[in-house]
Amino acid sequence: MTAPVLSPQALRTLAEQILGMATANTTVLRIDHLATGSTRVARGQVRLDNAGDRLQIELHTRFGQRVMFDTQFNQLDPASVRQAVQYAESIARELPGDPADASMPVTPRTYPMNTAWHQTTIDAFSDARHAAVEHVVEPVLSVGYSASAFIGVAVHSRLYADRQGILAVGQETDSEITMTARSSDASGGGWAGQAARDWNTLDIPAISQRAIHMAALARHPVRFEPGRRTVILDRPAVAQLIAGMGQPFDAQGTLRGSGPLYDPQARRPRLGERIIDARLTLSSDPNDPEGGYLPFNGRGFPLVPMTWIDTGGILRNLAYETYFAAARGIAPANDWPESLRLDLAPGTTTSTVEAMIANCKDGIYVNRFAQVRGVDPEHGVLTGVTNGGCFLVRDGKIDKAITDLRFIESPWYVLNRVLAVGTTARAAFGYAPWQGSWPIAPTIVPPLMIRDFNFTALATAV
Amino acid sequence: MMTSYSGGMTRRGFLRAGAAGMAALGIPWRVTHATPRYIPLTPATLRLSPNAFAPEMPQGEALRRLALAAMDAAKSAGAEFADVRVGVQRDIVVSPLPYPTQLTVDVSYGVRARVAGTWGFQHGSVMTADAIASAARGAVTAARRNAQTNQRLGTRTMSALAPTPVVTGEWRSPYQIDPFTVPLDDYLRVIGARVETTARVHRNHPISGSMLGWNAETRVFASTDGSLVTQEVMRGWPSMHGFASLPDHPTDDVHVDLAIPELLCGGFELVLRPNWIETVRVGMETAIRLRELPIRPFLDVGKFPMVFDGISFANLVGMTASPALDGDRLTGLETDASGTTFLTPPLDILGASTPQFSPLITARVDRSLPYANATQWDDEGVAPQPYTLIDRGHVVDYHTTRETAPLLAEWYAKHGRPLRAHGVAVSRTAASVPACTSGHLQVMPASGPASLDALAREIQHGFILRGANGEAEAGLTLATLSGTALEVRGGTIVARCDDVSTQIATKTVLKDKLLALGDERTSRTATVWEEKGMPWESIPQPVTAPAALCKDIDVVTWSIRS
Repeated sequence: MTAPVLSPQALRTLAEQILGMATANTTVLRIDHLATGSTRVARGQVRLDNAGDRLQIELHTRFGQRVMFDTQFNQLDPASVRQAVQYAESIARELPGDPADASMPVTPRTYPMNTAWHQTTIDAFSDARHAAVEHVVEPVLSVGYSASAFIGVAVHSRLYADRQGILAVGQETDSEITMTARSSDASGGGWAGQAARDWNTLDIPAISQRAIHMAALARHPVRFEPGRRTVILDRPAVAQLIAGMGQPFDAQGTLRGSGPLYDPQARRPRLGERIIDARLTLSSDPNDPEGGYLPFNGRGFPLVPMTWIDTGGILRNLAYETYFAAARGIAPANDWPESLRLDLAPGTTTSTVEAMIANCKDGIYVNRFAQVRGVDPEHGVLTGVTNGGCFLVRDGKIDKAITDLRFIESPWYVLNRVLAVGTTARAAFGYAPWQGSWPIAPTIVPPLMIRDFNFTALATAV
Repeated sequence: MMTSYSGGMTRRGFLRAGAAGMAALGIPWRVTHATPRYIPLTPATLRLSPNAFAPEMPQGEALRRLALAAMDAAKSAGAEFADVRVGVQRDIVVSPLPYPTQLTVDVSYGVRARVAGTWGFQHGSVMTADAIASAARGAVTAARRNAQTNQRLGTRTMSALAPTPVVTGEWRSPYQIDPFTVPLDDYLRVIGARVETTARVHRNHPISGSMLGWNAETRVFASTDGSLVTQEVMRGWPSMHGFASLPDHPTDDVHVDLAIPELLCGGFELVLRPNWIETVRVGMETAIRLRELPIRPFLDVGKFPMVFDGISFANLVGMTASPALDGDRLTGLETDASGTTFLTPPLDILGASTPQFSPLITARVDRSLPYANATQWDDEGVAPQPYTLIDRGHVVDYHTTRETAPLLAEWYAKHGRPLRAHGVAVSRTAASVPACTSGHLQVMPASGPASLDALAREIQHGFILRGANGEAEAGLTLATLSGTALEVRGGTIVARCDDVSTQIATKTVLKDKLLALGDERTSRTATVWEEKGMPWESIPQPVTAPAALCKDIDVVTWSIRS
């Protein structure tokens, strides 16, 4: 199947056409084309199939040192494109000069390869996605449970080009299946999901089975007093906690003296200091087989593999956004990462969720968090609620289901209270508007066992 | 990283176009955080309006032809029912120079087709009759495939859609001055006046929102039933919203309470009101006075009486009680997305002799008010009519679309009311699936005098919460709300407290713990952005509510240093 977005060649041709019309000495073009196909299931019934594409063409136009004018449009026919360019230049030509303008030097740019594109995911836009619906739902209905699900695929093309000769083009695919199963007596709900760049790596039967398992375990939850508890956080829960950890790496904020990576006593960033558990590292890599992404940012600068937190839990790098770096006369080194891999340092002994439960005398197992949002950026504090499976663990076994609990925690503190670490894999997010728009950038995490996790209230909904 | 474009201008988008957006566009940080500079406009620019050189936009007639082509194709393909939205949107954001003026044009459509109780939806932006007809056929094919899957799974399908009259016509939201014809210089004069007002009040940073933005949309709706309507809506972001803080302590701030909603229907006249500057000045002065109160670190968590200001209470109701009465949640459509509701099964809730909420709460919905969701016909072609949702604590209705209204058929029949959707379906853009919303919810204020100060005087030791917003868990039984917390002792504000938040158990706080509501003077309109669906889309929903006094609010702290 052909990808339902503009191909790299089509993007280049379009860029040549638009930049060929432009006369302003600064003309920057950015094109994003996203196509999605998704199916929603509610109470076992396929309710909606939604497919289509959205195109966004941004044109930033500046004459000399005049103020920039920005326009966006989404029509590709030659007349519309010509009108847009002429319109932008007509206004931009009349704008006044900007004496404080900070123009960017043009530097040679090479982009690392990346592997975020998979033909199998493109193919799933047609038959495979629809066939998956039945495979996901039927096992749940066959045990008498209710099923709500989302099956989605996406493909994205991006181009950055300017009149100085910079050209970057990339494509990426993604897919996600999530499911909430409810027990026949509606007393328990279980969530499961998987996400992958490559549709073929999704284990569809496993999603249903896990949702059924969670829902069965979650029946008849009892109220349980919140407080500081030992927790076993499965990957979807860990992903929701750490997905927002990328932003504090932005050097602008940190050098300004704010955020969890700034030491207010020493009045400097905490570079070189241990900031999380020594067994963990945090990195991002466009060529990550599970978490790859386009190797350039919205301004056409390369995004290179970066180790943010190195072996020993040491803060190794901050992210110098393109213009901020230029203003300080240093080389740009990545934007703050939206795709993260929380990994184990070499030589670390890994555990499993089962082993964590077996080693837990008194604690709580959390399948997933939802409704997570930041409340204190200074310390990275988040609040959210357990969702789709929350259980009391006693004497090495899951004892009973408990009602969902709200937490107030900071991942920067949580990752200093690690008792055990599992193996890493990409986690699905499901509904997570607090993390951005769908599809969410890949987050690769291990399950974690944490002491003194701060639960503050209980919720009574199933 | 993948990004999707939602079209139109969201509040986030609007704010993003501020400091963060400017950084993204290459304006150095030091500039974005400095007081805006004013660069004199050239004589040519003085006369320049956003429309000065604007490309030709598709007109209503062209959009209607496309809509009808889609409906013809859907009927030919065998749809039991289909509808389509075709739209052209323009957004303008003007900021103080040197920040770029931004103009966005988005042209798109979305076709929805129904077969055996299930939907297929296709959206796109190629504005030709062939393309939209192809999308319509694709939607029918997808719906048919869904129906076959349902048959194989043996699942029960949704009832027939609620009936609605065929409608035709045109409507334009009222405005006096088309902001797209206003010279850029006039925008900058208004922005300058606001910023200077805040600067005159105090050396504080000006509050955010010193830019101005408008969204104009022409949207055509058509259905296979024969409806065909064209609506032109002009919405503006006239308000300044945000917080007052000192440059050295940007995170130590106080919410600025202005009695001007952030998103309104109207043209440039919205920012030319004679009392605008005075309103800003009073709001700033109050915020500055509160900003200068002593700060008390808050550690003694517990249960306290609390006064929620109008914005806080509107946000609380808008993110809990109102979505709990959302028809999409009732049908389970949001179970694997935004969540479920505790107000189910509906017929038990509607017929309950015991009220679900405090008898002080009466809530009505009226989409004719000139706010974000004002319309003549909703995105299903239904003409909205005002309805009461909660009557003195009793749930008497739900927010319903044509698909969800039949869930209440028995209730309506019992009370001699016709089965009809409420006209609250909203597609965020023409390319978005219509979703059930709350229209514009209004919580009725107390009829007797009850100012914010009067409510606070009832508190021996507790808090006033200003400008608070938050999040509710998926089942809507528990919410968290945080904003500017003012400590009250003996009825008097004595301090501001850091890191204070609340945990709201919806069912008890909006019932037994609600002691009093403020009067009309305390009413404020908040725009609650509800993210619905998978993939989710953010839909603005205005909620108007008075201040409220509650007892035993669970007050917690974000301070979790370990």
